[in-house]
Amino acid sequence: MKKTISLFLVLAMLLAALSACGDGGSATSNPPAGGNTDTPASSAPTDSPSGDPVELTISIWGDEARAAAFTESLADFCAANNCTVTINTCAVADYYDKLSTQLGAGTASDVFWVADSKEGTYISGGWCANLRDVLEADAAWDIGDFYENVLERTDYIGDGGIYGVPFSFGVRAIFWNKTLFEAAGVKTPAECVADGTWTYETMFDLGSQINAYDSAKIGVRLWPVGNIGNAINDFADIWRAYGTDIVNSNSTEFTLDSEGGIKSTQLVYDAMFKQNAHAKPGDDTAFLSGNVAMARDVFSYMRNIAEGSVDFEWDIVPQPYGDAGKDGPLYTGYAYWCANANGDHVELASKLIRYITSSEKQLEWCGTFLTPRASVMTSDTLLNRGEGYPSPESIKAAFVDSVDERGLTGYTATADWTLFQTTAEQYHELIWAGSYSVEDGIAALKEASQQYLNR
Amino acid sequence: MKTKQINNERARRAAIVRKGLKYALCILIAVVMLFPMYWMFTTSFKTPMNVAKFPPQWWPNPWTLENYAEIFTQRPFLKYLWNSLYTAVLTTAGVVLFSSLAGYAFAKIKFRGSGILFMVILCGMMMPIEVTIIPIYTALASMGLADNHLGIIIVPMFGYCGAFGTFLMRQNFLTVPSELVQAAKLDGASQPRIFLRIMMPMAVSSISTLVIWTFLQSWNNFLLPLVLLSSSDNFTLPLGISLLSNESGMRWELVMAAATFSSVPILIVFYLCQNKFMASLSMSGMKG
Amino acid sequence: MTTKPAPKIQRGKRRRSLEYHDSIWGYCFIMPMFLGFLVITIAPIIATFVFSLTDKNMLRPDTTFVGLKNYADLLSDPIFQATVRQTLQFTLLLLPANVIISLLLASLLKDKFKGCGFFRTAIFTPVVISVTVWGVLWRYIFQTDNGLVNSLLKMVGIQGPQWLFNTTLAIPVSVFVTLVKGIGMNMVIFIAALQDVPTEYMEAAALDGASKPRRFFSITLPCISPSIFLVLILTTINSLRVFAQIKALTNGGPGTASYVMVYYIYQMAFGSYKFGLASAASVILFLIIVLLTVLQWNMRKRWVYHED
Repeated sequence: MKKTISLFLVLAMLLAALSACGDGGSATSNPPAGGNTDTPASSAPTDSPSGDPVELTISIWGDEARAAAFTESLADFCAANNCTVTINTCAVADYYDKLSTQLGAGTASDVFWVADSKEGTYISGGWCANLRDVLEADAAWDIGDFYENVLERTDYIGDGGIYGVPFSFGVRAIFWNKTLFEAAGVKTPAECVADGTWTYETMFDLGSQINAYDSAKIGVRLWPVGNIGNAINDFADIWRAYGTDIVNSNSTEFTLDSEGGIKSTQLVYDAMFKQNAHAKPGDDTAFLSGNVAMARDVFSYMRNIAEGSVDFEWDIVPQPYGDAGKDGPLYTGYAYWCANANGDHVELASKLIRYITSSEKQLEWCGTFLTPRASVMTSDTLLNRGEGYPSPESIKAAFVDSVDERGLTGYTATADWTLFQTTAEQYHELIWAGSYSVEDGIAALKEASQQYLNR
Repeated sequence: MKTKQINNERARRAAIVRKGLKYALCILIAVVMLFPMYWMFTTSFKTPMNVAKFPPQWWPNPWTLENYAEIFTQRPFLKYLWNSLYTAVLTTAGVVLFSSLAGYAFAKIKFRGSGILFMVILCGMMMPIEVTIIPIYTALASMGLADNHLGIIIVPMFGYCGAFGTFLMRQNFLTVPSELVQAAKLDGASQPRIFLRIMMPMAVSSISTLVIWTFLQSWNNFLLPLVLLSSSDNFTLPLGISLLSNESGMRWELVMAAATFSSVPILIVFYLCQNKFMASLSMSGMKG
Repeated sequence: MTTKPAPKIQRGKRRRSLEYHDSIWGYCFIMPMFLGFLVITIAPIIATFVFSLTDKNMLRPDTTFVGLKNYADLLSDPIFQATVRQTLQFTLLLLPANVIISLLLASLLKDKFKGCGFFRTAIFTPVVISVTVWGVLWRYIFQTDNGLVNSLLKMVGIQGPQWLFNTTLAIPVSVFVTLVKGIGMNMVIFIAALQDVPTEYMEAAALDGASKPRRFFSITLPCISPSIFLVLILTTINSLRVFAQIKALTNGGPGTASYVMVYYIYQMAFGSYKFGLASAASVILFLIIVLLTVLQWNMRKRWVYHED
């Protein structure tokens, strides 16, 4: 009797276990397209002009203030289209962990942001809707206003679609500490730009003079605090300045083992470890502290300093030249608005993207994001930032003219681009850690990264 | 007589030296342990520029309360605090209840398959959440529990924390003499009665450990709420802290203010309760 | 010492029915926890086993069965091999240090003395701080040029190493940071256990002239062995699953020098969306943990008091 009952109990538990597994199993193996058929919202009529307002969800990175500002920015759109928007925000570092999980489970927002290092994966996976028809339907939106290629390059499938609209690009300039340069009595970057000697060699030379003046000061920091100088992002500009790059334009071939690639990497290595001109890997001293003479950063970093109550004078100059001179294009990453192709309100989501990426709206956001739209880039709002910011001339020279002069390119992301980036990071770290010489490290990286490139 | 005095004197001196050494050691360890906390605390009162100063500012100059003002007035940290607090309390309550029951059964009741079933529960601690989070999320989403606090309560309860709790309580109940249980049974006490009246009062110390541990796990949990919760109204403190960054990196002074704010109250509670909680152990000295 | 068998006055039916009732209660007591576990823990584990046999990609709709290919790929991947090695290295360094130091601290602070509350709280402080903030604080302390450690070393004229960018130091530094974070909790567990050691035993032994170390090894240790066992298993499991502090501290670097298994799994799952491969790596990690736990579990009867 005792035996049978305990047997029965164990059996019951097993059954419960099996049913639970069946449950979990079937739920998890749903294909993504099917995942959203059973969400309650799908029963609601789409884009109805009357009746209950449609609820659109948007995923972005940034803080609560940014989410609130976008909600406000979209108020007119909501009123006109009888919809409400809910903005879900998240830290940029965790953004894709969340987005990919939600896409896989069919719970992702109707509209989301994707940066170009990831967009290849998201677009070729079929997660982003083709926006071309909706965008072209409104002539005032003006496709031609965008920088060359930025819309077309989202076409990873090759069907001529536009799969995302850029709202931000990451061209960088050199921020320099006037007060520190004056105190050290070192020739300033602005003077070098004026007399045509503004090269990477000069910049590192100035950096080493600053460090010689006061060893607690850092001459140059090319990558932002938290980065350790291992990412493609951190080096693209300098490789290009020396007429080379890590991969060719369609990412089929590894090209850093060229003369320029080795020379530029060696230059940074020497600046860090021989000249004491550049912050060492893992050093987190920020330009904001006043202890860094020259730092490379993006447009929106100006706001951090302008609002950071700093006790020093500062200005910006364009990035220095390398051996390739004006033929070395600047690097940029892009961030795009995309519409969830499996969402319930694709049409409305596309309209929302058209609305928020119009030139007026992008102008509204130009303090935070630099938009690759000609009309925005030359506008007075963008250049004249006001109190605490560099002069409009400095901003124009650093962020607008340098792009016109040298051109701007991104990368063609491959399917395994993230792994390629990780591998590149690993070998750079090993070079900095002294496990490889620059030349050997690049050769080893070439070998290790072949498998992640396009064939 | 005299030798005894000398011996006493020597013993006294040795005791003083020992005491001195003990304090020196304690202070040294405390310094290492408290330094990060000190840094976090002082940084939270610095201006953005002074955070990055070199040589580092050991003492904020000037002191500013603006970081705290920003996280409380411009960011909904009180809401995050509430979300963290109530989910952590519910998680802890569930873990204590269910794992004491299970721990007692595994330690003191003989039943078929208890070894295997215990191992099954221990599995909850063995699979990294970084992978199981995806099936868990998909399952919760299909039950309509995405962006719902219930998820961040039940997943630890029947996962890592529950497994830890069951294990901790089992180890605790093992040390209770079986004679006590036997005697109570002979007196006709039923198992629930034994559990409630005899076992639970004797397990106060382990329960306190479990409460602290589970509460902290839930309080500092990051990946699970990150994936599960999407609207910022539902965010918990760690998620709120992660939002204190922009494209140019973390805003350290704010992060440190928020981190101080989320850890100092717990430390104060620990300090105030630890004597009571350690004393309760000795009171249950009937064990063993 | 084993528990005495119950008085043998209750023989036959009565006793059997008591035991039978007991076992019913046993199932009832574990039922809530167990049912929750089936849904929340066991089902996802089974799902992970299933996914590990497929080429599931989080961002591709189509999934095909690939058999053991993921496992073959992993085992032949030199980075994965290094990852497993480093994870075990991490565990081997952390485990003894953690148990011994927290036991020492517990015996130092178990008795009341002036300020013991403060010291206990001080040692417990790191437990309260979130792992990510903790990792970041120590990254700051271990910075190469302006870090606290190297600044202090500079004062006495030593040029400190690149702590976090050195292939041999990355793992030991991570172990240290994890150790400091975790010993407070173990200390609390040990203090609780130490205070439960019956004083009569100690007094009796002291009267018999047993020396202090001898009393520690022959009375204290056996009495607190269930707690040591608990801490041992927990530390093993936690150090094999270490992730958040590594991510915040070294981000796996330099190169792959501080890759640990969960970091690798995370990279595969969330970095490149290869969920099938990540699942296979998780299954391997799971099996390693199960193996080590079962090993410790089976050895427990030899040294853990009260287990029989």
